[in-house]
Amino acid sequence: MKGSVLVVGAGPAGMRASSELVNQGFKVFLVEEKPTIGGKMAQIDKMFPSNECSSCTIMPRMLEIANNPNINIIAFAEVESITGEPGDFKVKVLKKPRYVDPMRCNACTDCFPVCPVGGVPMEYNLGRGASKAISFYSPFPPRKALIHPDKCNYLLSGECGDQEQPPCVQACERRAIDFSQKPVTGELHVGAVIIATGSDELHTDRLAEYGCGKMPNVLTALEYERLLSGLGPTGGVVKRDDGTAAQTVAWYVMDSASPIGFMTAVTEAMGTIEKNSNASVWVLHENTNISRETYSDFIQKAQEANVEIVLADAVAPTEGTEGNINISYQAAGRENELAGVNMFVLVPPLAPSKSAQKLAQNIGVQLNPWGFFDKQSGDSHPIHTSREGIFVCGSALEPKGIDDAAIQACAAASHAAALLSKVRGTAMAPPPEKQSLPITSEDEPSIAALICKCGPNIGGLLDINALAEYTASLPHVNQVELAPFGCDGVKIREMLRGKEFNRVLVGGCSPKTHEEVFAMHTEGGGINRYLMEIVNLRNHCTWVHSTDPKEATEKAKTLMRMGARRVALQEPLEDIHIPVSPAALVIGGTPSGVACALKLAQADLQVYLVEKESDLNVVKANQSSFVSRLIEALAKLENARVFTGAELGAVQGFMGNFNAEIVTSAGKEEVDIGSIVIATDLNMAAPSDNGDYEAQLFLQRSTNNFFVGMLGNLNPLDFNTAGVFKCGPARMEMGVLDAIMDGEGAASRVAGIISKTEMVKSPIISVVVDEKCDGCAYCIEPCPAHAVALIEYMQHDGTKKKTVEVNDAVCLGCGNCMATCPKDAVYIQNFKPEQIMEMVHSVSEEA
Amino acid sequence: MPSLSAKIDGKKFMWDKFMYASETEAKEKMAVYEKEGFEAACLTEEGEYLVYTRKVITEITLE
Repeated sequence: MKGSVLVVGAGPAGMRASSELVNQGFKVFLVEEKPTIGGKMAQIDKMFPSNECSSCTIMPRMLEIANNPNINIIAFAEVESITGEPGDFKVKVLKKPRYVDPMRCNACTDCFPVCPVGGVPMEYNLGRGASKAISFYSPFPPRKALIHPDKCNYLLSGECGDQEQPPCVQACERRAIDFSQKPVTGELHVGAVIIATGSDELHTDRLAEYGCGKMPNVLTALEYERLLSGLGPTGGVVKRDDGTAAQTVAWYVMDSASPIGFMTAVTEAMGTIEKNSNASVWVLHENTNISRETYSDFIQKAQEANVEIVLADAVAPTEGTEGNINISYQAAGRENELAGVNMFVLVPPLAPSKSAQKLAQNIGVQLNPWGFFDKQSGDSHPIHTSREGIFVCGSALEPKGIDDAAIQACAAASHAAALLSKVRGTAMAPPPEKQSLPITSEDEPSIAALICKCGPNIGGLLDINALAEYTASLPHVNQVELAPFGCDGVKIREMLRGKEFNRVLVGGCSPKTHEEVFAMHTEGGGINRYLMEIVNLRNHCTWVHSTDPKEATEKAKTLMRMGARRVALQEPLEDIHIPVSPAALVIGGTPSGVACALKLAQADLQVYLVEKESDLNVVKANQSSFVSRLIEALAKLENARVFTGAELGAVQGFMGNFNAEIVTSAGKEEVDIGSIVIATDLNMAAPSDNGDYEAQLFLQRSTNNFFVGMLGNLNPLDFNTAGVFKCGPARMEMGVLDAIMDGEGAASRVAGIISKTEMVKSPIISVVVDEKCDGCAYCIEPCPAHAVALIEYMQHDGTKKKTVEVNDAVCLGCGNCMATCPKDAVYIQNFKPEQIMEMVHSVSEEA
Repeated sequence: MPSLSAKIDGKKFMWDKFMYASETEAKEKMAVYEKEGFEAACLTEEGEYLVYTRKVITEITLE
């Protein structure tokens, strides 16, 4: 049996399944047919119903995956066959040639300008925008150049330029260009497979009937997303085919069977108004049924923002003047017309990805009549396929939103983990040994500075050489280097190798997305990862001052000066290790609760299920044959203890280390657990004579009595209280099968905590200066993690004093306590007041 | 000067700012504090006995 899993498809579902599996101790091979990861989520501008920036949300996840030594990304590849059986599959993977060695390419882009072949339509932008015959496929990882074989002069004719070697080969210092590459088939051994190949817009003749490809400025929703995206061909400005801005845009939702198309149209319309408040937008649809409350709320917000939603049929566009479109339609039995609309966006139905059929044939699994992955007859579990040990999640099953795809990915991960529980951890690479130099706070700072050009993002605007020269003149800065893409780690490690630096200053992009990456490279160079500072030249400088390169360069100098002052005062810190109680508590014997407990127990983890009814079969929602089978399976597992006729008493503790009282007619029993899942239905109000776990765990309900969780589409099962999760009827109304998947998804979230012996967390947390703290308690309420507690203590003379205590395990290091404290009695590690004041002074000194 | 606070079994305790010459003396004081509802602990430092206490306040009034 193999402790590794193949995940096919690196969109949001595939990436999520991968990170869940690694978190539970399984190595992952992530195969993606495109040259970069991210899937459709990376192509779209914003997500519904949270209206979050899609690429900003997914980028940190992509980097996390790209830098995880236990996730092997095999991009630009296809699965050719899968043989063997559950637990021991052999997978043949065909790797397509890039004609660029990814191990050598450092994404410097020196080969791009010398390539004589331009005007290559960009596939990632659906044909909009143009690149050279050698280019990046997308802005996302793995960021390696790629040669288009059907456009490259050398590959087509064996010649390019007037020299012996083609210009790209001459320009590449790292000798990464490799025209000899051929398709290569390799073999992987894995224990389980998860298919997450997503969906594509269904392009049929119907699109042409509505003018797509025939009339100017008629396009599909995904094409429109690329125009809205800041990383798209127009930099986020919605432009028509002639380059003029669009003021009036209408959408037509061609599929009313699923809410996804309608929600896509509303999100795009809302995004258009957010970018241009003078725009007029209409969404035409044919009676789409929107039952989910979060979707309805989003639609209401869109309408309040002047998105006009029109129930329409017989929609018929005709070409107008000056590239405009006239759209006639029927609404409420009357003929109407939108005359002279600047752009018309068609939202076609979503179909299985184009590769699904070939993949299904290659690996011997069935598709349903619509081409989505199917299961064996008689098997109704949504994420099963027709082949045991091969699971499916996300839009490869049916069109769905990103939040639902995330839940299914978690559920698929929990199925794979249950199958391979006996070999958990056996295929994982050991963590790299840390060999940090012995650096103390007292050592004279010696700073190595790296300025990352981030391709054209920074290097294209700033006077980068002037900035480097200036940075070299700053106190304690002993070396400055420039890098095309510093995040690849090549330059930073080169700088640190064998040198006696004790601090690293990076001028680059956002720490939100890249701090972990640069910390890893700093550590790889032998310096404590907390002795590194990133100055955000990209977001704070070049993006916001893109029209003024001179002033942007001056601001960049100021930011680098501030960064150098701060990093000089940084202290080496060690990660915090917290032991974990290897068990979970599931509250509520609903289908979700039962499914969650079962998957945890099948994964060889200890679980306690608490239900107030006298028998799980009495719970009304459990009275289906599917759930009955789950209850029977659960009863057979020794590591699952079911408490019926039970209530919860006191619950205390924090992620990894909770303690709960379970109260039955036989008395009270205390259990130590690392994580808690709430799977109760609406009738299961928490407060009882024995306790109120909702209050003790800081859980909140919405006005309609469902639990309120963490914000964001990627965390639908998470509460803000770390280590506590919600699923099924605790989240929203749903059917039995969805409730089971929710429970199984929650099982994966829990297993990510309790399958480990300890948690490792950042030491960037708050520290109380007891000599200054007078226990005023102003810092307690603002703490979002409920990490601060007020304590009283005795003095020898009998007087009582107060101070606060910070729980290191849950503190987020957000700094709210520091900002609130009137006595300067609390600070965040490496954000000490003196560091911040040094930065402030450095600005005013220069001014 | 001993540290004003100490982590004992993962919990923060505060020193009562007195050095007790004997364990008996320290334990007597601990009993007094415990009677007042405080958790108390005794640590030794350079032959002296130090008493630490704590009590979590859940009813918080901001002034």
